Amino acid sequence: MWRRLVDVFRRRRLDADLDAQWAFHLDALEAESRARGLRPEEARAAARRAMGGLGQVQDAYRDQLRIPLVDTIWQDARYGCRVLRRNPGFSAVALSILAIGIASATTIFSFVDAVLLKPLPYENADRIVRILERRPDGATSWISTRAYLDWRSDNTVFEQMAVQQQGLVTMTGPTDAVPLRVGRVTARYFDVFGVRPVLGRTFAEGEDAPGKEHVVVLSHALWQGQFGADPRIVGTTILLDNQPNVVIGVMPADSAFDRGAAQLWQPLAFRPLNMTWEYRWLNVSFARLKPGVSLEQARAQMDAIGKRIASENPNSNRGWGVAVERYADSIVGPQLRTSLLALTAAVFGLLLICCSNLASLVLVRAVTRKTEVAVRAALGASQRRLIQQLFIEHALLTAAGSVLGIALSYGGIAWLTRTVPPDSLPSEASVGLDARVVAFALTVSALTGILFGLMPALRASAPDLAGAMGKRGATGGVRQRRVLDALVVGEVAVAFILLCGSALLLRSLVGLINVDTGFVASNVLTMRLPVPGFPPGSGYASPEEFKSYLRSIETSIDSIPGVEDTALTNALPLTNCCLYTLNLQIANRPAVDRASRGGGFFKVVTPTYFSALGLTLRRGRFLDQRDRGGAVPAIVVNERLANRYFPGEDPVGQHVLNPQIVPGRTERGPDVSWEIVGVVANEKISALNDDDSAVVYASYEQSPVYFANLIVRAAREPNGLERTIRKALFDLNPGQAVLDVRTLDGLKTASAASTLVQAEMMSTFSGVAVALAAIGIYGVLAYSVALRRREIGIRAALGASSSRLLRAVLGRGLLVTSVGLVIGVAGAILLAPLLGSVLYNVQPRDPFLMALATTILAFVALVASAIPARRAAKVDPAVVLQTD
Amino acid sequence: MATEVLQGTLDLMVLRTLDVMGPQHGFGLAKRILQVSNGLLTLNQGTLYPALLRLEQRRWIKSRWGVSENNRKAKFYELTARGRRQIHEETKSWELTVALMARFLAKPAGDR
Repeated sequence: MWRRLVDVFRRRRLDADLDAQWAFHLDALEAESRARGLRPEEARAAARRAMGGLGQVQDAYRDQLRIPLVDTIWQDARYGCRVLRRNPGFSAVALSILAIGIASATTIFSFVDAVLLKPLPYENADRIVRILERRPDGATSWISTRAYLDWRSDNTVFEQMAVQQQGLVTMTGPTDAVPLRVGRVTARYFDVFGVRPVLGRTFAEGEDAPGKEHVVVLSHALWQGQFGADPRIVGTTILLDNQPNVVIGVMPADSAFDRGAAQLWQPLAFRPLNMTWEYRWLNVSFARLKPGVSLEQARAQMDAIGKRIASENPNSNRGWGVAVERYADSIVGPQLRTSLLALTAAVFGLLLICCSNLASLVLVRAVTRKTEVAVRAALGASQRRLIQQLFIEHALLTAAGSVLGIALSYGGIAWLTRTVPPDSLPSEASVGLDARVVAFALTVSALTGILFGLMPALRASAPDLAGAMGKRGATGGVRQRRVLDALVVGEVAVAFILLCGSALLLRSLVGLINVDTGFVASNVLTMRLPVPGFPPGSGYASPEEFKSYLRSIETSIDSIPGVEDTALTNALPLTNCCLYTLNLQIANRPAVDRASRGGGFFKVVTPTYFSALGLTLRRGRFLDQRDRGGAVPAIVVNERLANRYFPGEDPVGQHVLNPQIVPGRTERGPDVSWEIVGVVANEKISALNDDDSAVVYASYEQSPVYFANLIVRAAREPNGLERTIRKALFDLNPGQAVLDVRTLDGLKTASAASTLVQAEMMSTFSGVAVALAAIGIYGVLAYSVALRRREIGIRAALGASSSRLLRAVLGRGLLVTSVGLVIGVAGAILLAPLLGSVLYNVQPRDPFLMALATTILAFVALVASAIPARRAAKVDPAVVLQTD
Repeated sequence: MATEVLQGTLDLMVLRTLDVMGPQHGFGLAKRILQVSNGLLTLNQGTLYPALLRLEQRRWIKSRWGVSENNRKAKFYELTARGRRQIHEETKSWELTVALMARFLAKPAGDR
C-alpha cells in the first residue's frame, strides 16, 4: 500500500516508463516478424495486434497508479484552498481562533507535563523518598544530626540514604570574592538519585568524614559560567571559604542538578559538636527504597524508629515523628498544583469556547454556501463526497491553525519560563516544546478539527435542493438557530467562569501588593553578606570579633552620602532564609518541655533595624545601645506574639525563656530569660501572605549569630548606591562576598510574583474568552438578522417601528447572554473554591466580583448585539420585498 | 484450443518465469510465457505491463533500466526474496486447488 502511495506521486515518470517499454516491445515484435520474412507494414500490423491497444493498457496501468480516495482528497484539498483564499475574512478569523486555542493549551500543557505528568528523570524514581522530621503539630521540620544518623543506622528498608544542608560559600576569585550556593550532602546523595557526573566522579563512601571533605562537585552551569567549561577542571584546586578544595566532578547539563538551588556540592561531614537532637539544621534527607519494599513498610519502620527516639529523648523529641513521602509527591506543593490545575481548567474552557465559536462560524457560513452545496449535489456529488469536501476544508484550516498555534506556543513557553519565579517549579521540571508537547498540540488540533469541522459538515451537507435553488426560505433553519444559541450560551457561561477566576486572582494580587507589610518599602536596598566557614563563622575567633566587624560595616556604610540608615539582620523581611525558630516558654507559667514549645521566629538585628525599615512601635521601646552584652537580655516582640501569649495583658516588662543560640555551633544552649521591652506592629516575615508568624527581635550584641544581611535606607532611589556600598565593603574586607542585592520593593514584587503570573495568565485567557463570546453573540445575531431579513422587512412594512425591531434583536442577544450568565454563576459558585489555596484575602465566592463579572459580560453582550440590531432596524421593506 | 489468461494466473506465470530465467524485460517475458504455453494461451501482450507494475508495487519483483541484447534501453524485471516466497505459497495453493478439482472430476470407481 505504501509503495502504491509513493507511486501516485511518481505518476508522470511511470507513465513515461510505460511508453518506453511499449515502444521497445513493439519494435522487438516487429523485428521478430520481419526476421520471419514478413514485409515491414505487415510486421508492424502483426506487432500491434499482438500488443493490443495502448490506450486500453494505459488506462489499466493508470488505474493501478491511482488510489481513488487519495485522488479525491487531493482534489478536495485544492478546492478547499481556493475556497479559503476566496474568503480571507472567514479564514483569518478561524485561523486566529484556532491558533489562540491551540497555543494557549499547548503552553499550559508544557508546564503541566513538566511538573505533574513527566516521570522524574531518575532510574526507578518511584523508589526515591523524602524524609523529614514531623513536629508534634503535624508540620514537617528540618532534621537534627542525631535523628538522621539514627534513621540511617536503624533502618533496613533503604538502599541508600543521604541528607542535605543548603548554604553559602565564598569562592576566592581572581579579583573578587564570589558567593556560591552550596549543597552540603552526605556521600551517598548522588547514588540515591542514581545520577552520574559528565566529568570525573561524585563523592566516594567515607568522603563525608571530617578531614576528608575538601572535595567538590560542580554543576554544569557553574562549570561553564565560572570556569569556562575547562575540560581539565577535574583535579584542580579552588579556594572555598579560604580552604583548598579539589574539584572531582561536573554534573550533567540541563538536569535537575543544573536547575536546582545548589551551584556546587561538598561532602557534609559531621563532627562531634554537631551531634545534637535539638538543633534541626539539616534541610532534607533522601533515601532509596530497597527493591520490593513498599512505602507503607518504610513508613511503619521509620515510625517505630521515631517513637523510639521520642521516648529516649523526651526533652527534645516528645511527640516528634518521621515524615516519609514519595519524592515525586513531595516536589509539587499544593499551591503549584492548584495553580496549574486552575490554569489547565481555564485553558480547557478557552479551548471549548474556541471550538464552539468555530462551529458557529462554520454553521453560519454553511447557510451562505447552501447554494454552492446544492449545485454540487445537483451535479451528482454524493453526500459522502460533500461531507468529505467540507471536512477536508476544515482539516486544512486546522492544520494551518495548529502550525500557527505551535509556533505561538513556542513564544508563549519562552515568555512563561522567563516570567515564572525560578524557585516556584521543581528543579526536575524541564519545560520546553519537546516531542510530547508537540504531540499534545497535534492531538488537541485533531480533536478541535473534528469537533468543529465534522459536526457542521454533517449538517450543512444534507442538501435541500429545492430550498436552496428554488424559493428562498422565509425563516431559515430553526434547528440550526437552536444549535447556535446553545453554543453561545455555553460560551458566555465559560467566559463568565474564567472572568470570575481572573477577577479573584487580580483581587488577590492587588490585596498582596497593597497589604500592610509593617515596613516602609521605598528607597531601601538589601543584600546578603555570606559569612565564611562551616558552620558559618567558624573562621572567627570569637563572636566579639564578628560583632565588631558588623559595627565597622554599619559605621562605614552610614558615612556614605545619601544613606539615611543602616541596619543588619540575620533574616531579611519576606524571605525564608536564616530564620531561627522560637522555643518560647513564658516565665512563671507551667513549664513545657522544649519539644512542645511554641513556634515563631527569633530574629537578630542591630537596633537601627526598626528605624531603617520604618516599623511602628506599639508599646514600650525599640532595642537600643543599652541592650549590649552584660545588660539584661532584652527583646522586642511583634503584636501577634503579644496577642497570642499575653491576651489582655501588657507584655512589656514580662519575661520569656528561649534557648540561647550558640553562635557558630549546631546546638541550643541553656534557656535565657529575656525581658520584653517593646511591642512592634507586625512585619511580614516570610512572605506577603504571611499572617501567622510570631516573632521576637533581639540584638546582635546580646545574641550574636553568624548571619548578616545589610539593609540600607537611602534618601531616594537606592539602586545607584550599590557600587559605593560594594566598594566600602571591599575596602573593609576584600574577602566579603555580596549576594542578592535587591530593593525592598523588589522583594515585595518577588513575593507576589507567582500570584502575578497566575493573574496575568488568567486575565489573558478570560480576556480572549470574553472577546470570543462577544464574537459568538455577534455572529449568531448577525446570522439570524440576515436570515430573517424578509420577515423583518414584512414586519417593517406592516408598521413595526424600527426601535421595536432594534429591541427585538437586542432582547434576543440579552436573553441568550442571561441564560449563559445564570449557568456561569452556578459554575463559578461550584468551581471557585478550588482556587482557594492560591487566593489571598478574598472569598472565592465574592459576590461583588461576580456582580462585576456579570456587568462586564452583559455590557460586552449589549455592544455585540447592537451592531446586528441596528442592521435589523435599518432594513428597508421596499428593498427586501423587491429582491425576493 | 487457445484460452485467455485466467484471472490471477498471469501473476504466477510472470513470477515463475522470472524465477526460471532470471532478470528479463517485458518482451522477453511475453515471449517466454507464450513459448511455454505452447499455443494454449493467447496473451494480449500489452496487459503484461499493468501486471508488472502491480507485482512491483507488492514488492514481489523489482526493476531497473538496462541494455537489451540488441543494445537498446530496456527495463529489466527480477524476482525479490518476497517474490520467491510468494511463488512458493501460490504454488502450494495451486497444487491444492488442482488436487481438489481432480477429486471432483475423477470418475467414480463403480462407474467403470
